[in-house]
Amino acid sequence: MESQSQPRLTRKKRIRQYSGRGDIYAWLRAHHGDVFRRRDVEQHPWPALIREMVVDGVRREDGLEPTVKNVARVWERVCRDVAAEAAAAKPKRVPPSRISPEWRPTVVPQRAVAPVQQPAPLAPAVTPSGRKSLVDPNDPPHVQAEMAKIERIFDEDESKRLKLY
Amino acid sequence: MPDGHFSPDGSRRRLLVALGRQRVGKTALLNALIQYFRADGSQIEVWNADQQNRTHSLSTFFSDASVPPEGGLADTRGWIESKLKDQVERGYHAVLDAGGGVTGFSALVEDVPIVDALASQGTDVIGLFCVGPEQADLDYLDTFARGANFMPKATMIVMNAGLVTSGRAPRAAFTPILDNAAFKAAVDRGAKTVMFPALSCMAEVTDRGLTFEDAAAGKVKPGQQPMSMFDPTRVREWWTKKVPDFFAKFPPEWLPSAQSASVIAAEKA
Repeated sequence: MESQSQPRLTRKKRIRQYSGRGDIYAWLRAHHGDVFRRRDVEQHPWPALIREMVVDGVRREDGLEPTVKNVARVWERVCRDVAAEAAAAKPKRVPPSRISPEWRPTVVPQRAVAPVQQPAPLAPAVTPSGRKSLVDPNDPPHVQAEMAKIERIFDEDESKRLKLY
Repeated sequence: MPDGHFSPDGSRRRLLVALGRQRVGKTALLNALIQYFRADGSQIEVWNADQQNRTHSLSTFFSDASVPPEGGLADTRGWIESKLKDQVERGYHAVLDAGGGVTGFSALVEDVPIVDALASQGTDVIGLFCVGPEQADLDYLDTFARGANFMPKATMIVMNAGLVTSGRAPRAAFTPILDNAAFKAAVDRGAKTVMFPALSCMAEVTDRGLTFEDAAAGKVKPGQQPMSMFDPTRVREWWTKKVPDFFAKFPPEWLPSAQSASVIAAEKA
């Protein structure tokens, strides 16, 4: 089976139940870190994560498998709750310092800095298929990230088309 | 009662404005968006300022859509202002189909920096720039971005795959416009991009004034010709898979989500 040969996207965690919340919430909460990182690197991670949830036995109250819509909405709530808890957490006590309050760091005189040579503009990369990449290395990082995302949208679209033919 | 900064569901109010030239899919996008989020219990007001599109305007699909009074640009601008004031006072999400060309909305944003003005009143403005694969489709983006008249931080450039000629791949169709300076400038300012999925039988649904849910179930209105054999399946595939995938790509805070009963039900699922 394809699903058995694929490595897990999330490390299996002990699922704790939360009062008034369902299984989807509990699973997302337990795997919050992994899901958060996954969303950072993948534009649309839900279908794969839902498959993993289903393998872990997570179902909706009506016994059906969760949908992308269910999970995306519950994820909003999980993020809000995690952020609220983090904000409410008391700061840890700092142990008393053994360093004298009179101590000051030694100041080293600043050296003259040599001017930085700007690298020559880079040419856009070429994808394995020989197509010119949409990502231009001369663009700012956030523009490169968005262009890479668009590239993934097109890849996703093409892979769906290939499955049809 | 809303406190003036939040919707009745407790979230900040959202105003989603669809912009773009004529026939780039603004109404189709908003039609899907409103149906999708209302089905989940969101309270969304529909403002239809697209006065050039009579056959497939939002008023065709939503009997509660508000329309500006007959008149010129100044009247429409005044009407939009009054709707924005009402939204601030009563607290709800709203979508505005601004129409194409020079509109009451474009007149308003030239006059007032509405994104900041509304943000201070608790309304987050989300710009949905609809584009097809033609360079001219980006003129709107260019016009609104220039001089920062209207370029909210929450800007989504919606590439409408429904405008790609049959048999052509969206990558080949849209790649030329991705090099456009207006597109790059918008992305540099934080705009994000998504692709609205094509529905080959969209006209079969909208010409009949059907909801996507009814069309997916093969239902038509009394006296209408039934849809072709596979169209309900096409609509079902689009409505239950592609459309949820599409909205899942938006940052959640850019959508008029319901934090109401349906969400609580989903959480308890």
